[in-house]
Amino acid sequence: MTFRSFYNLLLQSAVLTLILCASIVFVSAEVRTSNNYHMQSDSVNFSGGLSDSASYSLESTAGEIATGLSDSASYSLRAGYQQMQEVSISMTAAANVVMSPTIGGITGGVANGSTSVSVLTDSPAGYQLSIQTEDSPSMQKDGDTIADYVPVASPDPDLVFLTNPTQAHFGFSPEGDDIIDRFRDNGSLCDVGGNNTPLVCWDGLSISEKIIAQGLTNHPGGATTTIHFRVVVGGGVVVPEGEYVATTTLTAIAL
Amino acid sequence: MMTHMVEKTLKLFREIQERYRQLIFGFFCLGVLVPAVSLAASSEFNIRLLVGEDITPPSTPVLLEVVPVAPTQIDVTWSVSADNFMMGGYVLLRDSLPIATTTLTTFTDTGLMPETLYTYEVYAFDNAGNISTTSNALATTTPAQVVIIPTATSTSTSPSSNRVFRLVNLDIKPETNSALFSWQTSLPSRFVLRWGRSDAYSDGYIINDVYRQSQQTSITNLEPGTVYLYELIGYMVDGREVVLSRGEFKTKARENNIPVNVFGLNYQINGHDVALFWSRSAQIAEATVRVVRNHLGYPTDPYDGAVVYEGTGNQFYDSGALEFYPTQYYTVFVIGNDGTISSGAVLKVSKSPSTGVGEIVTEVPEINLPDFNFNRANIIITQGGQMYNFDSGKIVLSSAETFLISIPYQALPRHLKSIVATILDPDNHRQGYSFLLRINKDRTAYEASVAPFAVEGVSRLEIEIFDFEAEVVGRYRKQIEFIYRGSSQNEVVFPDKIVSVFKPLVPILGFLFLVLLFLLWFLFRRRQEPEDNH
Repeated sequence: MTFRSFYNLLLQSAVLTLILCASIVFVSAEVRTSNNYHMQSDSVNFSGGLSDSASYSLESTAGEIATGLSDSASYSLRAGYQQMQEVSISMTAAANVVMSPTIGGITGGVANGSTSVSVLTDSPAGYQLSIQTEDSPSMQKDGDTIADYVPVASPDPDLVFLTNPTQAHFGFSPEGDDIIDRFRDNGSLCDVGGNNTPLVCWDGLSISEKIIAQGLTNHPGGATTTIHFRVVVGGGVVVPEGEYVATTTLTAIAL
Repeated sequence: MMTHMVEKTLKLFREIQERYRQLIFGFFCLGVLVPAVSLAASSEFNIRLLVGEDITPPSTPVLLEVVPVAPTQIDVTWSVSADNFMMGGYVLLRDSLPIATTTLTTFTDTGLMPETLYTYEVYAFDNAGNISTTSNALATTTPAQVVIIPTATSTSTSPSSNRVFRLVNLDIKPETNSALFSWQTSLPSRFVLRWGRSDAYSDGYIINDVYRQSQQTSITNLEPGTVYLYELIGYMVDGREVVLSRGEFKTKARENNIPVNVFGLNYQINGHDVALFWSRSAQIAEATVRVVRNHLGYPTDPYDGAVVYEGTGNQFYDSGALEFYPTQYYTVFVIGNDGTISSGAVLKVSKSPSTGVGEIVTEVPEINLPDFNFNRANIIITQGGQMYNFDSGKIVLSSAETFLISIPYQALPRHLKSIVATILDPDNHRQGYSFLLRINKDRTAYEASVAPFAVEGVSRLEIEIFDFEAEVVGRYRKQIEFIYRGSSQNEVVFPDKIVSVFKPLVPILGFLFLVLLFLLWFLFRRRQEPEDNH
């Protein structure tokens, strides 16, 4: 090995080491912590400016270093560049629902159930809560199904659950301070007015996400949304007996 | 020479880029992607429906034990039953007669006769009314009653067990109007708890006849901020009475501080509808908010207009609010857990472009309150023990702490309708947030507690005093600077930051350097070998 080769080797090792370490620093979401403050993310920059192309716009800056997240019992402050990029969101677990009462397979009937979740986020832009099911139709039993509710007023939900005697349907209706306008009513129609009336504005579940609630601000104390479920089996339809299950997922994302 | 070195360095970088492109790309992707994840939460659950008749009964529970705890008490325990759909509960039988229906799997049977044989059984039922078969039966005899002359010692030895009866631990959690007592004793016992503001313990008492080693009870209807004396007496199974504890506790004082107002109160108009939204600081995260609307002026108390919203949310859609009136005035009150009410954050919503509070459209002159001895020094800003007034020099407040705006009660004539404080958003001087100043509990001042903006910058506080015709009769302004004091002592200044970041990494850096050096040397050797062979 010549001196030149060894010199190149040394230089390559040094540069790679620096790249590796810089990557570790940038990847870390918590780069500075002390008893008094806690920095979620920051940047070590040496130049900056706005870069533009047809498909993107990148703003980079230089030397924003003395900022970070500050916490105390009564406040949480994220000051400065990049500090708001990381927000937290959590949601209480939704309890399983047992529809009650049981429905006669021949006589038909109505069964109701509900579950609630509370979304807690520090995102200043709020959150969005959506619901989706695993299967279509949602309610299934060994190949037998109960159809998902399709609102007559589609795309708006129906103020009341409408099922004729020859049908069986499974639908839902959200309730809470943050439910979106689509599920609010004026007493006679949905998606009109601002009422948050329980057990009105019915829609059907789907394998694609349906947004049910949206908060426009932070919710440090949690925002509760209750989802009511209803199955109506008409007297003129025979639904095979057995236990039907709809596997459902609620997802909250920070905005 | 210099050009040669630059060329060499560039060549080296190109070589590194070519050779380790994938590695570098991987690190880069990792750096970009990691902060973008974990911004969602999800929960999966099942919705179950039974169609048809449920004729399947729950499984039969197993009676596990019946323990004669005292001459008058037997504790019964059984196993959990399972149902194909939905369990209902259990029915406990004593001597073939039902004595309790419960969803639990334990029961304390009291009021029994000493030296008597009792037989227990249990069965389960589901929500459809199906019942299981009856469990195994277990029988036991209650012990004989032993009459012993009460003593007033703090510990005692039970003749039946030869174990010392004593208080193992006692936890008292006083609240504003109640106190929760939790304690354990070395042997099962029932208790009497007495309390009062003197050693006569005359304010109240609780008698419990269930023998347990772990007990819990709550005293209610207490006065806030008051010292109470208590006496806890335990009664052993053999009837022996022991004073377990005497002492005192103090209930929490009622908080005199009015709750802080919501912040960031703003609105959007949609036809005749108004969407209001606001934010709240952590200290009022759980508090109830009441929105009151009035088309004549700002509601000055929670009943001064139509209550259009009350709840724990952060937004409200007021349908048709502007249908009959072109302007609506809103006040958002925060109701504290102890019933205290914030001064109110206010908002004027108008169909036409307005100059209401919250909208800083044009500059209007200051107005001195006429015919009254009011001056700028009467407007006081307090934060963390620091006090300023409008005649002070520069007002510098922490951007991270609540501050109080107050005006002495005597400084203003009583006939004035309301006082509104508007503070500009330090980030956006066209946006202001307004708050009512309300008279405090002691009737000494008009006050408003304002949540921290959490934003540094220069702002301006404007105080407007309205008469009963909603006309502004006084207007005063003062510049305020918000600074963040929390981290100033702990800031890491460039280039110290680089040093502080990399200092702990020095050993890792060295190790990595050596590993990479070895790897490159190895690769170099492998590349050289074919050339050497050739």
